[in-house]
This record gives sequence, C-alpha cells and structure tokens, in this order.
Amino acid sequence: MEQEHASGPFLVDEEVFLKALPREADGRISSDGQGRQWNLVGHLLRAYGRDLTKCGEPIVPASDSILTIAETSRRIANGDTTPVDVLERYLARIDAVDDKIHSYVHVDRVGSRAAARGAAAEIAGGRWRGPLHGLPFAVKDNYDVANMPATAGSKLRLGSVPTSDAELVRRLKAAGAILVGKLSTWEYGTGNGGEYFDLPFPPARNPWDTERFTGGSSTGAGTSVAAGTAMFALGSDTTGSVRLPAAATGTVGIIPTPGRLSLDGILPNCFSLDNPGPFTWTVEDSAIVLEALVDRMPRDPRNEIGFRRATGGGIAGMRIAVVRDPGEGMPSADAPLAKALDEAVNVIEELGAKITDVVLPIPTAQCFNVTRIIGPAESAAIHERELRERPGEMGFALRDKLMAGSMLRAVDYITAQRQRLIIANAIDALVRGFDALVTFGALHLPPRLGVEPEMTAFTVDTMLTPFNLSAHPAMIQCTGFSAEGLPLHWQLVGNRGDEASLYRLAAAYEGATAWRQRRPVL
Amino acid sequence: MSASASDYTHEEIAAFARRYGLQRLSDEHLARMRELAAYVSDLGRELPRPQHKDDPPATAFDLQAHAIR
Repeated sequence: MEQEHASGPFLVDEEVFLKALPREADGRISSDGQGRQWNLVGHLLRAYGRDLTKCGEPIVPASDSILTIAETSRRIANGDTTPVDVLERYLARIDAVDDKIHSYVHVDRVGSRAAARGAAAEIAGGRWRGPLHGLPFAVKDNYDVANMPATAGSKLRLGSVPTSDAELVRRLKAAGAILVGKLSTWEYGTGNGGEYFDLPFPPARNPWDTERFTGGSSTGAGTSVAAGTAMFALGSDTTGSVRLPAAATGTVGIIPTPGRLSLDGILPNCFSLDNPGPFTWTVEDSAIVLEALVDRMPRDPRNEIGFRRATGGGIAGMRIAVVRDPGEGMPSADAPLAKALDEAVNVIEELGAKITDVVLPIPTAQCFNVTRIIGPAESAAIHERELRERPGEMGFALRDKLMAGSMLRAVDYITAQRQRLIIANAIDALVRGFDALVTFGALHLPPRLGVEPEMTAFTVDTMLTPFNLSAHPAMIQCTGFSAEGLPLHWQLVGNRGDEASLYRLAAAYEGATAWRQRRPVL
Repeated sequence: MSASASDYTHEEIAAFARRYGLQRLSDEHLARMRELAAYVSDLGRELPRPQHKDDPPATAFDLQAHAIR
C-alpha cells in the first residue's frame, strides 16, 4: 500500500494489501478487536472484485478509528476496556483537537471522571445496565443539565445554571451513559443561515475541512461525533437542525416521529415543530441510543422487534419511494449529491428494494413559506421578554427572527397552521404507500464558514422542512464523499411510528458500503 | 404587489415597537425592523389560503402526539 497523503486515499496494491492483513492460524482474515476495521475488506472485494488497485478507498489507521457504541459496549462487557479508559480517550481527543473545531462550549472533566469511575465500579461489581453503560456523550447547549452552565449559545444566558436534567439527559444517565459536556449551538437553536460571529463562543467548524460550515443549529453535535470528541450526541431539530449538521459532517442524525421523545428541559424554539434527535457514527449506534431515549415504545407492529434488532434485517422487497427532483422553486442538487443519491438508490435496489420514483405532492418551497411564519411567530411568543428587555445582547439572527415574529399577524399564523395540516396530510398519503421514502437533505455541499450567499443557500436550499411539517421520522446518512473530501448524504423518511424501517434500510445500505471507514484527519 | 420598506416610515415602526413594549430596540434595530415589516407582510399575503372555510388548522400542539397514535 502506498499512502498518498495523511488525509487522502491509500492506493491499494492487491497482493501487498492482502498480505498486510492480520490473519488467524487457518489463514482467515482476523478481527482487529475494533470490529469494523476489516469489514472494509469485504466491501472492497465486492465493489472492485480482485482488482483492488482501482480502489481509492481510505483505510483509517486503527489509532484514528472511531469507536462505536456497539463495539465499545461489547469490549466493556468483556472486560477488554473500562469506562474510565474510554472516557480518558475522549478527553484526550478533546484536548488534542477541539481548539480546531470548537465542538464544545463546556467540558465537565471532574464530573465525567467521577461518573466513569462509578460506572466502572458498577460493571466490575456485575451491575451492567445495558449497552450505554459507561459510554461518553454530550448534548447541545440548549439541554438543561443540573449544575452545568446552560447558555444556549447566547449572551442572554451566561451564568445560567439549571438545577435539574432535561428528561433525555436523565434517561441517558439512568442507562449509565457518561455526560462529558455541552456542545456548540446557534443562539437559542435558531439562525437564518448567516454566520455573524456575534455570539459568546466561537462557531464550531467542520472537521472534514475546518474552513467549512458544520450546518446548524446543532453545530457542535455533528462535529463532535464526526471528529470523535463525543461517542454520541443529542441535538434538536425545528426545521432541520439535526439533519443539516448530520449532512454536513457525515454522521447519522435522526429525528423520530414527533412526540416520541420528551422535550422537557430543552429550551423551546417552536412549540409545534421542535423535535430532539441523536447523532451517532453508525446506524446501529443510532438505534441503540434511540431505544434508550424513547418516551413511548411504538405501537406500530413494525417496531415490535426494536430499533436495534431492526438493523439486522434485510431489505428484500422493501418498497422505497425516491424523490430526485427538488421541485418547483428549488434549485437542483449539486452534482455530487445528485450522483450520490442515484448510486445509493442503486445499492439498495441491488439489495432487493423495490424502487419507485415519485414527486412530493407539495412543493418544498411552499413548505418554507409555512415555516417562515410558524417559526418566528412561536419564537417571538416564547422569547418576547428577552426582545423587550435585552435586544442589544442578542445576536443578529435571533433578534431578526424575534422582530419579524413580533410583526406577524395572528391571521397569517393560523393560515400557516391550516396549510400545515394540508401539507402533512398530502405527504402522509404519499409516504403511506411505501415502506420508506428517500431524497436529498441539503442540496449543496457544506460552504465555507461565513461566506455568503453560500451559507444561506446551504441552510435554505434543503428538503428537510416538509417532514417537520408532516411529522414523519427522518434520518440523514452518509453516502460517500465529494472530490474535495466533503461528506455526501441522503435523507430517509419513514412512516409515522415506523423508525424500525428506517433503521433496517439504513443499516443494509451501511453494511453494503465502506463510508464508515473514513474519518476526518485533524 | 410586494411590500417595501418605504411603505413604512421609521416613525410608524417606532410607534409599533412602543405599542408592543419594544422600547429598548435601538434606531439600528428599528431600521432593520422596518425592512422586516415589508418581508412579513409579503409572507402573510403570499401564503396560499385553504380552499374551504372549514379547512382546520393543524392541532399545532397535538399533531405530534397524534402522529404516533
């Protein structure tokens, strides 16, 4: 193997490559203990036959591979590592790279180390709580955590320290997970796409190219998981704030069916659209985290097997709708994203999915006209006091939104909510004819931070909002990389209450591709 | 016909802000609010109206829970 560049692809010579692999006594390729590392071999052989010299896939050195929840949990359960060791690896990673990416606004070294020691003692004593026990995570800084600063990215809340945990944080702690800290966010989880550099913390930067935008508003959540400064993270989504950062950072981000997860203890942005969601590196990890978070287990029979077990199912016969045309009033997707969507659809078709091309019944642009009224109006109602008393301490984007919301008429808000129901019913009627729908998330590659009009275009030109309005679960998954090494993605949309089908589909795709083998080099 | 910032005077916007308790907005903020006034007028006017008077709004704060029933 010849390594071109630390962050670039390895050129692979078949004979040398195969000889270099660790093997068992009988000649079989052995596991490296990290599990997935050598899954790449299977992918390479499938994708390129025996002519591996055509393959430019990167092979990540084991020292830089991202720890997955599933594998680390197994290693902890087997006694191969401990929560203390795992946490120290993450704290070291934060120390080493976070000044380049600013994923965190607060790191709780003392508290997390104490929690890790406690978890280690429990596990050593035979009291293993489950797959998240002893694993480190972080939350967007609009989640309340007892005795931890809660700024929501705003000067308005500097010095605020809640006395109790958000319900989702409480659930993860109860599952034994170790909270490391709080992650960067746009102010109050809100933004118009612009970067004004007027908030109390430096903006998070995309670990695939630190000159580029992370996607918002959960800016630190996607970044932390992609960069390996958090094993998993929680964010929140009103009109794309989980899925856009997941798209920009090559992570798995999901919003479940609205109502599935508690919003208690998360600073509200828009009552009728807010929806929390986790970021992970793999699909199986996402399923593990969501199972720990759910408020109510689904009544849909397709979910009875559980999200994690759904990741082990095949997709032969699954009926998948594909939306390749962003529709009237929207730009075309960037060529690499369009190509990646086509190729991903081809992969699942080869795995046995039944593909049908469809168009959305309501133009995405029309959905934006609805959320541009609902969002500012509700935010202005929620944060009216701050606009009255401390407008000069807000960043430009938040103040803009609240001023606009203060001038919207009640007539127009109610009209927007009437339109929302029409949109929701129309999209639901389409999705119900299939097991899942796939389309774009963003229509552009992540832009350079602060550069307009690309920043605003990246945030506005998306296919995310329709599924906030329609109350469907939706996931972003990495589908490759552009020529400049930026993540590509697709969006998977499920029927209401049927996250299991999303996990089944996404896991099958992930297993057939090698995108999880690449990670940012910082 | 689109609204424009010139449809509103600075004084009108300042009076609106005072009326609704937004006295602490600076002149710079009010100037921006004047631009936004035209924007939100357009947003509301251009939003398609439902065809029927009995088309209800989404049960805004319940739709999410309804989705999984």
